[in-house]
Amino acid sequence: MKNSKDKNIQQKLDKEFENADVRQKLGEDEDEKIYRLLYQELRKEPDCSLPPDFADSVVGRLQPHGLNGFLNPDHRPLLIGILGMLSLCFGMFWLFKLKLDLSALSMSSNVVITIILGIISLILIQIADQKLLKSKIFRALK
Amino acid sequence: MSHAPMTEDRKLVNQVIRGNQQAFRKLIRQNERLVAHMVYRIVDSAEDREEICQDVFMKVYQKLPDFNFQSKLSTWIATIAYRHSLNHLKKKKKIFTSDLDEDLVYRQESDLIDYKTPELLFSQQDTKSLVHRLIEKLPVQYKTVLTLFHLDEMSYPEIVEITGMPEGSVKNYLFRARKLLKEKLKNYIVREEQS
Repeated sequence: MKNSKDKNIQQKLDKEFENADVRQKLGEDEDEKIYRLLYQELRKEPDCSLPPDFADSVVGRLQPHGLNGFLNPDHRPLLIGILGMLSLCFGMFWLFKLKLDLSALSMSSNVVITIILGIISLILIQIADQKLLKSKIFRALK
Repeated sequence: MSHAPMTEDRKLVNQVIRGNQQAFRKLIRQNERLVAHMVYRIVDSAEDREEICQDVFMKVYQKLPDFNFQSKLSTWIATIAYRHSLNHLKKKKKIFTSDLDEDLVYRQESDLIDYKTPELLFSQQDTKSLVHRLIEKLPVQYKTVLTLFHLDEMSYPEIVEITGMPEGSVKNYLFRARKLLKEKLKNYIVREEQS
């Protein structure tokens, strides 16, 4: 009996709630008045606001991936810097008409193998780093 | 239902997938209130809440290519926020999978029934503080449905989709939560009138 009374009041207020009208009405019984007050309180925003820079913090956590990551606005100064350095080098070569002495490259086979192994090691370290870092991020998010 | 918000969602999602960070900022701003409601109501540790909200949006970013537009973007994001918050509680051993069983949920109501409202809150005469303090004492499922229904104005089908609970349970939890709160509020008001 008591439950059905509560149910009726709640259904009535749900309908009013849909119409955004839960103002106090005259001639209600005690329970209905309290429910009305409760409905008003439930609609009030709790104190749970996030900081104003929340969106920036999340974006800052994103790992740049591929060309999209590299071309994002945050990396443009770096890209401009690299292009600037390359242009400067080419400019210097052109300006001073430097001629490369390619005879220095005719090294012994041992040196060539060492250089190739060095490059392969660097690439492997980079790949391992990427994989481990990525899995760590995913683990943290799970 | 209007298709305009869905078209907007589609446009925004495609921009984010293409790596447009400005679009992702927009997506976060549009949904941060909803995520904060969900996380703050479920997770009681104040120091963890902001980080959990961030994690939710990181997950959204990762899973966005899998979003199939079968629901509203906000509903999908709320689902991630709900599951992530529950996983956090399970990890911290604040709840166990069995706590989500319907029978046990009803038994957890005793936390609120036995809860003695602090004198300070009575003296503050602040109904909002009292109601929010009482909500904190409710079982997780009750808090969730109350928040989604009253604060985020979601429909029953949307709440069903977010929580994965049957519609009957959603309605029942909502009814019982409001009834419990009403009883507590009634005691408070009677006490106020007597003093």
